[in-house]
Amino acid sequence: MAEAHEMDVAIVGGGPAGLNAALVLAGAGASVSVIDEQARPGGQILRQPPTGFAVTDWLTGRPYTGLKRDLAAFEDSGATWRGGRSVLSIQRAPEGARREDSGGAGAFDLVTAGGEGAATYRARHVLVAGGCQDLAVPFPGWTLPGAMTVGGLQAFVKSQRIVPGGPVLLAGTHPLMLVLAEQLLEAGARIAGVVFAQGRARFAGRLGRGLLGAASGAGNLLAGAEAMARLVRSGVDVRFGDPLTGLLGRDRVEAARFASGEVVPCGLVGTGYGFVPQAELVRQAGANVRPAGRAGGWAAAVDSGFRTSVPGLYAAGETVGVAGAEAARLRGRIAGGVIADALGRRPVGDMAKARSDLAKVERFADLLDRIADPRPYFPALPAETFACRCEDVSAGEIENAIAAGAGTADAVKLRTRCGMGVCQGRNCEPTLLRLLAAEGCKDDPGFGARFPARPVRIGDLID
Amino acid sequence: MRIGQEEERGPRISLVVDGRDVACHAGESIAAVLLEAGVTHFRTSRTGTPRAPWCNMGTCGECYVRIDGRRRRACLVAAQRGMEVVTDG
Repeated sequence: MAEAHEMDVAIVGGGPAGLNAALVLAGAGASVSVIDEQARPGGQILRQPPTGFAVTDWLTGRPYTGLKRDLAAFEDSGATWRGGRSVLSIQRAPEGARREDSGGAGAFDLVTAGGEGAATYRARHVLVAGGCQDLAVPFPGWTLPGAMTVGGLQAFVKSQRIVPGGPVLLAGTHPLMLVLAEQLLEAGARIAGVVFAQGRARFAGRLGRGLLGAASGAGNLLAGAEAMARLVRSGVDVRFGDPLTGLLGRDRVEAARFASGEVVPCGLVGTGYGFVPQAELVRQAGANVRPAGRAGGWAAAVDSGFRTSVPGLYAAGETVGVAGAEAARLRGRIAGGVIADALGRRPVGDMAKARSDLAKVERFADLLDRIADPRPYFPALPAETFACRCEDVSAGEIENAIAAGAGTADAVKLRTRCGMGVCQGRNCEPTLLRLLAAEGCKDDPGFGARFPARPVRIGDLID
Repeated sequence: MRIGQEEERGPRISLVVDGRDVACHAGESIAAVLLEAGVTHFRTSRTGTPRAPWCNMGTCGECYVRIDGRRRRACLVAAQRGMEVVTDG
């Protein structure tokens, strides 16, 4: 492996949290690198078109304005961008390698892999702002080509500027489906329908109470209600109270089936049941995590300064709990200030205001989370349906393993290979924990986190 | 379906997918290029079922293909002139 690059702070993730932390730290004079798997900064919310594209009117909506400003400021900030690079692990640097002036924290080595092979970064402090991912929800037909997550489908529209098939059907519980449907409509896609599993009363009632109760989120909620009205006016079939039960097709998606018995022909499906934090690196580094909330998964456990239980390791953004881009911006800013303090530098910006804004935004996020709660609507999982899509492990195999005495996630993994694939258990773990809980094995800590957090060629590590 | 005007995209290039020439734009992800070329079968799962991009953010690994001889996640690789892509590899 090549020699280590050294810096004050390494930030993992170049989304709203990572960029805002970098802005505060670079502004305070610290040396900062932001490492991200994507080629360009912005994170999933501002997933940029490829270099060389010149898209006019890219993401013009109001929610994107502040984020685009952050992006422009980041380009001029002096922070170093390391794109196209996956972080495989975060480890304590060897004792002798730590610098004396680290403010009580230890130095860390980040092992990364990218197009040109592996590299190690050594940083005094590390901030993990890894964002979130769609909660993986299995159902019959979910592995068919043409079935995607809403987040994945939206990234094709935002960044690659394609609609990879159609007619497009969106199904699940998350209001992001309304935002995506509008973007698809604007792109000229044919939309087969937007179908919410929860009833209209549950959706609209909570929305209404939210409008009264969460003043700061009212703008966003109104935007959602307006989006719905525009979709309906454009002839898009927006429906409530009909949970998806499965997808039909031989070698690709041909139709979707709902609890009502209705079968809707479609060629591309996005399912949206909410989002779970990406916190594997935090877990792997030995820091504490906590159950993330209604959609499942694990969030980094942090104090009010975004410190994890490992000194010198911080987490912010969706990695500490999914609350949306505005919360991520504020959390990143606050975390950046706390790290600047630890480095003995003076952070710029009004941290007290950031904290009070964050409290308001988090209240709104909780309302959205309640509206989107997927738990009552998980589709039934027949024995032959794969729960683990990397290793093709069916729900039936898992249930048999549990019945035969495998009472923990790791025991089921050893017996069935569930969780042994390239996604490192990210997608099957929530399902497995549900199946375990249904058999009385509650409060399982999930899979032990392992190296590497992302797939890598062995040759890259031993060069 | 590519969205918007052609001029908004990168320069036109071509690459080779399973032995045939495929026209695309420099910088597009290999996942996007393949889907636009009508490819729906990116990899074959352990039990023989076809798979295609699912998360489109590097997490799930369903879009693994062979690019210039190396297995890579198609959603994370930008198209460059002359690349050779083999699906189901």
